[in-house]
Amino acid sequence: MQAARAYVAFMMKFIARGLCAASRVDEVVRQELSPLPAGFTFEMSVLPAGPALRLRKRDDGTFVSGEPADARPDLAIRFKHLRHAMASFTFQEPTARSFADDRMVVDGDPALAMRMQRMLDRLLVLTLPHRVAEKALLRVPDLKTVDKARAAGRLWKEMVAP
Amino acid sequence: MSVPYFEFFAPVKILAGNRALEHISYELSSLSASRPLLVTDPGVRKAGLVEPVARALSEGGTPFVATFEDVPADSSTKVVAACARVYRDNRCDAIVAVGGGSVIDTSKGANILVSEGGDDVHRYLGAGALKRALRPFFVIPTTAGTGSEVTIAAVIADPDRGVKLAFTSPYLLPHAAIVDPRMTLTLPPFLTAATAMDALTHATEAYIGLAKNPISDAYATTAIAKIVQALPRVLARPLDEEARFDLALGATIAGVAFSSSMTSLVHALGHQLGAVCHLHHGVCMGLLLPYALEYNLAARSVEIGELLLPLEGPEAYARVMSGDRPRAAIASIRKLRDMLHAKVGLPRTLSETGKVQRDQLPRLAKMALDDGALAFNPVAVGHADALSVLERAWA
Repeated sequence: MQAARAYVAFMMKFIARGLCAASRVDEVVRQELSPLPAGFTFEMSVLPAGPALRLRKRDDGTFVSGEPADARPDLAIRFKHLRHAMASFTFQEPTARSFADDRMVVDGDPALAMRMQRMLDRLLVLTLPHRVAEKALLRVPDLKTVDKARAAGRLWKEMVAP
Repeated sequence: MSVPYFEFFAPVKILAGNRALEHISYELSSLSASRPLLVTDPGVRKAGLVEPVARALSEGGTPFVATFEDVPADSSTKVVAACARVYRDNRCDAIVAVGGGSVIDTSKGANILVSEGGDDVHRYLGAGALKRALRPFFVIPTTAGTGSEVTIAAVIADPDRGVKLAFTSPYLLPHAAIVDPRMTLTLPPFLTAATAMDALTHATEAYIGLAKNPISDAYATTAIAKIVQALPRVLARPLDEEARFDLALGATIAGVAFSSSMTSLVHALGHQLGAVCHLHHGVCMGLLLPYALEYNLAARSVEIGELLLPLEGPEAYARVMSGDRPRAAIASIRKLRDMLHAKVGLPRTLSETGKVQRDQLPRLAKMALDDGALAFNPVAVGHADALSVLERAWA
């Protein structure tokens, strides 16, 4: 259980770092993020008090990562149990499947949730090998190899050395 | 593949059939309620549908002590607050909603306020915001379509912010849904057809969506059979109480199915057509359904093929080779759609509606990507995909 908790905590950090970096350098994520108001907050967590991440949209249009706060976020995705988060983060089943199976609770405007999901999908497409991404997503977008390599390269560089 | 997991929750007591209205007083008293508020709209009143309910309650010793009738086509937070005020001013202890989706959603919102207190329904947005049972709440649908009488959701517009608020909680479920054939007997043919296509789409999308499960499947297939068998009978003989009852019950059963398994692509696209082009929701459902099914064939050909059984019956099902059943099921829905066009003028395509411009389709497709129903579609949907479905539905 401790190993699972550590892995999920690592993945939460990875996602937070990845989305922050993508909000700076990836045009697709930037476009998805642009209609959301400055100050928009997103939280992903494991119930009851498991690993969590919190992102806030800054005035410059990018995400910044922070600690979960008491204030209610605009959008929250909460896994009902650590094992469900583990199944999602080890890509045993697509996130869409986990959501449909009620493994998580989505709290907030469904339109925001759809937009956030597209950003998360984009992060997975750019950071996971194709075969793993196929397990994590209902459909992996058909990107040209050179375009994917270029976008992924920019993102990894920003994640490692912002 | 591991054993799947699903959740199914449908605790609404359904009072269905002959003289169902005359059971409401007993059900109210069993919940220690005796001062019900009637929530309805002027159209329902004009159609003469309030009278049999009021009479049944008076005769049963629990007459309405107040009425809230100012429900517009799309409910709002202000309407909900006004409804709650009437409830409090008249010291009511139960709500009886008589009407369609807007009346039912207004009543759900008002029930939150009168049970939890305050005038601001925003406080109760979000999963888990409601923690306890609300006041006794009964729903009498007057259309055979929305299924709202058995669903956990309410959609209420916030006019100040220009957004629609989605409330979801098991506590929003009514204590009872009353399906009485008298309540849909006078529904005009066009609305009967449109709302029936809404109900058929609820059941169909519940059966093919990502959240489908064996229990909702049973409800979905039962609903489909009831709807496709009853609808032609109702259109041929609108005052046939038995056919009206079968259709209304089919819509309620479809509501139970999609309350568990949700809806998907047809609703995601239809919501935008309703919002932008002001098309009747049921009309959108009817004309989009075959095209969305074709789009989902890639992932759900087996399930779509299985729908041929409730759509056409066992003999027709047995005559068609298994590989041909998915296309035959879609053809069956097209046949129904064509029949409704011939009989009541229900549009078959977007161009036939006369309310949609072709150059609006890209925007509608983009808007649909933000619709929560899309999360339950079995095939991923991008902008080009949504647009291709709309283009196919154009002509």
